[in-house]
Formats: sequence, C-alpha cells, structure tokens
Amino acid sequence: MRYITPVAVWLYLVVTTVGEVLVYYSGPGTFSVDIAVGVIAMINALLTALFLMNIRKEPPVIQYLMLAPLALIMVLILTMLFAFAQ
Amino acid sequence: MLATSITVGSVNILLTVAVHRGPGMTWRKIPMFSWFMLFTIIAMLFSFPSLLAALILLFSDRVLGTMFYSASAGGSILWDDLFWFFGHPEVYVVLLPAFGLIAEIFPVFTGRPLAEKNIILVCTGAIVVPLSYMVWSHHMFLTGITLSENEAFSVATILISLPFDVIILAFIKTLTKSTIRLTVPMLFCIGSVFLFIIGGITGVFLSSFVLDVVYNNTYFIVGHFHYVMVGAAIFGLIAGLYYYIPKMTGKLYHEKMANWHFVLSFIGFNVLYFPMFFLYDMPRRIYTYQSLPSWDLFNLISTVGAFVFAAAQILLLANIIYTLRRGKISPPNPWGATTLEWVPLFTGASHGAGYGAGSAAGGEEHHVGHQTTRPIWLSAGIAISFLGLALLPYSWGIGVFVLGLAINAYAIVGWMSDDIHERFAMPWGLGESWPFSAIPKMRLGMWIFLSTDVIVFGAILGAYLYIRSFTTVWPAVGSIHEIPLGLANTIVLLTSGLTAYLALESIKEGNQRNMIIWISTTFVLGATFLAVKGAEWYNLYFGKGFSWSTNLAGSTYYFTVGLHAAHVTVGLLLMAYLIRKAMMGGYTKENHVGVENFALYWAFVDIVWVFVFPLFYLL
Ligand SMILES: [Cu+2]
Repeated sequence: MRYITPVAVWLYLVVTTVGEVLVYYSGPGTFSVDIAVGVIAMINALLTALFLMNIRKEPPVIQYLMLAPLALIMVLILTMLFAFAQ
Repeated sequence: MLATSITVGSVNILLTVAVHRGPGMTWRKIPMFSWFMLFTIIAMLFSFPSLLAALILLFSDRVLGTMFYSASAGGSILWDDLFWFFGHPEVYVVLLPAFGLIAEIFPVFTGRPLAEKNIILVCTGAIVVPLSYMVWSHHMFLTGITLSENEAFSVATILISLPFDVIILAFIKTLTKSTIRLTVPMLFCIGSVFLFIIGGITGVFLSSFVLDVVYNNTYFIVGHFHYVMVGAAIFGLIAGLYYYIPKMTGKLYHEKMANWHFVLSFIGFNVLYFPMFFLYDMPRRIYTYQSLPSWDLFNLISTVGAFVFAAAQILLLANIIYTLRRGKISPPNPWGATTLEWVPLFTGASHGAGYGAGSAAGGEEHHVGHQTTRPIWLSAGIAISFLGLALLPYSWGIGVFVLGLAINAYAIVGWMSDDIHERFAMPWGLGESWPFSAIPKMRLGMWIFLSTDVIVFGAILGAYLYIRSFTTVWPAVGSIHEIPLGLANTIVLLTSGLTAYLALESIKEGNQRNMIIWISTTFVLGATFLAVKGAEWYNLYFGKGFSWSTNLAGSTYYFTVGLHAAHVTVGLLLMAYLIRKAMMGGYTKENHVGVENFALYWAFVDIVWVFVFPLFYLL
C-alpha cells in the first residue's frame, strides 16, 4: 500500500488544478482570483517536491540547496516588480 | 553556451570537492585554496543561470523576433536586472580564486600560519557569497528605480565591503611580525592585496548612489573596476602561476626575469589605471575624447602605463617558454612549503597531484575506463549547432545548425550506447562525508543541476511577471488560449508525473517489467502533452495569427512554453534511453540511479508547468 501517498497527491493535484480553473471562472481577472490561483499553484508545487521528488527524505543540505535559489529568485522578482512602485 | 557549460562545470567542481576528497581529508583540513574555489563555485552556481536566461532571451529577441528587451515599458531594465544579478557575483568569481592562492602563499613565505583563518572562512563563505547575490542593483542606481531600492542596495553594498576589510586585515596581520621572503609569488601576492585596497576603497565611494550621480559612467568606474578585476585578481593568479610552476613543470623559472615582470607590471598597472580616478568627469565607453586640458595629461600618462603594463606581460610568456625549455630542475619542494601537494611523494606525478593523501595512489586506476571522445564530439556539436542558431538570419545558417545537430546526435547516441554496454567503469560511490553522506553522487549532481534550473525558470517567469505588470494593454484572459484544452493537457502532464514516480518505485522493488511499463506510459503521456502543445501552437499561429512577434503576450507565451517544451523533449529522449537500457536489464533493485535522476527531472518539469499553466492561461 505504498502507492497510496503518491496516488493521493496526484489526485489532489488534479482536483486543485480543476479548482484553479473554476476559481478563475468565478471572477476572471480580479485580484483575489489571481491570489487564490497563485496560492494553489504554490501548494501544488510544494506537494510535488515533497512527495513525488521525495525531497523530505533527502538530507538537509539538499533541502537548503533547493531553498537557496528559490529565496534568491524571490529577491530578484520582487526587486523587479517594485522597481518603479511608490 | 558559455553559461551552460559553466553551470555544468560548477556542478562538476562542487561534486569533486564534496565527494572526491582523499581519505582523511575532513572539512576542517581542506586547504584554503580549495575552500575559496568552493566559495567561487557557490557564487557561480546561481549567477550564471541568470546570465543564461538573459542571453537566451536576448537571442530570442535578436533572432526569432520576440520583444522582451525592446518593450517600451522597462525592457532595458529587465536586461539590467537579469544581467547584473549575474554580474556582481561574477566579480567574486574572478576574485576569490586569487584570494585563495594568496591564503596559500602568504603562510609559506612569512613562515607563520595564516592569521584568523576561521574568520576569513566565515566572512567569505557566510557573508560575501550569499550577500553577493543581493547587491546587483548598485549597477542600476541611476536607471530610475525607486529611492527605497536605491537605499536598500546601497546599504547592502556597504555591508559587503565589511567582510573584505576583515579578510584584508587578516592578510596584513599574517605579514606582521614575520620574516617575509620576497620571492616572486610573494611579491605578486602583496601587490594584489595592495591593489585590492585601492580598488576596494574606491568601490565604497561607488556604493553611495548620491556619489554615483557624479561618478556614473565615467573613467572613475573604469579605474575602480580594473583595480579589482585586473589588479587584485590577475596579480593573485600570476602569483599562483609562479608559485606552482615548479610543481607543474618540475623546473625553476628565471628569477631575474620574473622580478622584472613584477616591477614593470606593478608600475605599469598603476600608471595605467591610477590617473583614471582623476578622470572622474570623462565619460567611459567612447572611442575618442575631447581635447580638454584637464583630460589630456591623464590620458597620456595612462597610455604610457598601458604600454608598459602590456609589454611586461611578454616577460611572463618568455619566462614560461624559458622554464619549459631550459629551466633548472626544481627540488621537490623549492619553497619549503608544508602543505600536502609539496610532499615529495607526489612530485612528477602529473595525475591527481592535488591534495588528498589517497588520491595519488589510487589516481591512475581511478581514471582508467572512462577515456572517451564522446564529450568532445558533443561539445563540438553543441558549439556548431549554437553557431548555426546565431546565424539563422542568413539562409545558410540552418545548414550549420543541422550539421551541429547531427554531430550532437552522433555523440549522444554513441555515449548512450557506451553506457548501455557499461563501457564506463564508474564506481557509483556514495558521498563519503558530511554533509553529503548517503547521497549517490549522480543524484547529488541532479539536485545541483535542478537548483540552477530553478534560477533559469525563475528568471524567465520573473521576466514575464515584470513585463506583465508594466504593460498596460494585455489581451483578455481566455481570448487567446483555450482554457479547457490547457487544463486537459495539464492533467496529462500531472499524470505522467505519477507514472514516472511509479516507475521508480517499481525498480526499487526490483520489478523490471513494471518499471518498463510505467516509463513507457510516462513516455506516451509526455509525447501526448507535446503533441497537444504543438496543435495549440499551430492553431494560435495559423488560426489566430498570434505569433511571438505579435505582442508581448505572444513573446512571453511562446518563449516560456517553448523552453518548457524543450525540457519535456529532453525528458522524452531520456525516457527512450531508459527504456532501451531497461530492456537489456540495465537497471536492477540496487542499481537504478538513472531512473532515479530521471524521476527527479521529470517531477521538476511538472512543477514548472504547475506555475506556467495558471500564469499564462488564467492570469
Ligand atoms: Cu557590483
């Protein structure tokens, strides 16, 4: 029964992806929809990394190795997005 | 291409330091030069992918006609950000190896251990390297970015100068109260530190965005920059060259010539670059300058210095030729150094003559069995195909491109067949020591590669978000892309993620048949995904007349999805290979690192799509 976890994760991913689209139809182009869709996508990416790449079973150094570029890229993206904001 | 190869090269060096240390070489005993190379690699690891992203976007703009950088809303700032995110860490990539050499050479010629070794390591590894990624906007102070960003990056830049102060003070402390032997390597080391101090102090001027109003784009910058990159870095590297010439050639260089080389270089360098600080009102990047009394003299002095400095380098070249031809035989340890590489045992063994007690004995046999010309063919093929891509605007460019692809195919197919027939006797060792214990090194390599790919995709998705947020007119969501079709295709890809995972689980249980079935399913799903993608593109391009040069929505969509599709294509090739090897019984319960790596890669491709789908179809 070791396949339960990956199948459950897969099911969750499929359902929430359909959910993303439904959320979108509930109010296309509104800010709150953008945020909701973004949050779903981030959770899905995290679940994939945790359960399909099994990063949770890797030693901490690998986890940091993947977190570091994520943090740096966030710095880059935020700097770009707020370059002209007041 | 350079950026790709450097990224892969970093993975290689990082693995070597982490996994291939000789027995007994614990982290605490690693020589300073190796430490600094490690730091260099970490500074490269996440910066070059950003350059790679910047360059493929540039290529796409130039050759394919997308318009990332030509966008009226801040396209040039996009280039600045992506380029300088690489550009600042790059300074340390050039500088740190030189500092590592200085840290090796100072103790030898001062006769005392390096002062504050641990503090130097902490300053470099824990402050300089991570912070190097967070100061890049100081190259963009005057581009019109907000005041608060200017302030933040100004502070970060001043911060990063502090650990360098500590490092330099530690170097100087090593020099004090010691009897210095002024050999040529030592002279170049001291020269390097001296020039770095000048380069560093002028750098602190430039970290202020207020002073930048005056200094920006002037010869002051040129002076500062060369004191660091040429003065500090190149002098340190030349020191290393002289220091290791006896090791590399077994002979001694010509002492007098080398001394003159230093004297002329040092004088020439300063005569060349110091006057530039007085030219702080002369714009740089010009092919000629106005004849003003305040500029003429300094430019003249500078030119004289340039000739002296350049001519001095002939002495280095001559000295190397002299050493190779007629140099006196060097004693095993001409400097009286105490580090491992000078232990007489290793002298003359050109192979694996690095650090690490065990490597010399085991070195030869270790490398037997993977001598192959495939990588050379592959590099040549990649070079030629990329050249072809760059030449695409000419009608014959496509021929060059196809030729390159053919060579690539020849190399890859050959390489794979070598591997299928186990022609490489590569030991699949585990990482021996903390913190990489118990990770097969190929998997470690895959993780490192993926961590760099995070930057590539992150930079490109960031570019999309940036463009999106500054472009006022954007096609309404749903007007371009078929959401239901995109959703269906996303589910196909997600399912392939599951089947790839199941393939790995099967082989972990030793079930080869199931593994082949699951991988084949994954292959079919991946191919379906690509086919649907192709159909979508066909409809968009021919049906709706929506191309990558239609507008920014087109540019970003085709580029990002295309890059993802390229990753999927690579995944399909890998799978074809895995299936072939598995059919020949190449994977077992114990040995399935290939499947494992593929599963990681494929899950990563999934994750990227998890973001691409909503970003392009729903937002
Ligand atoms: Cu910089």
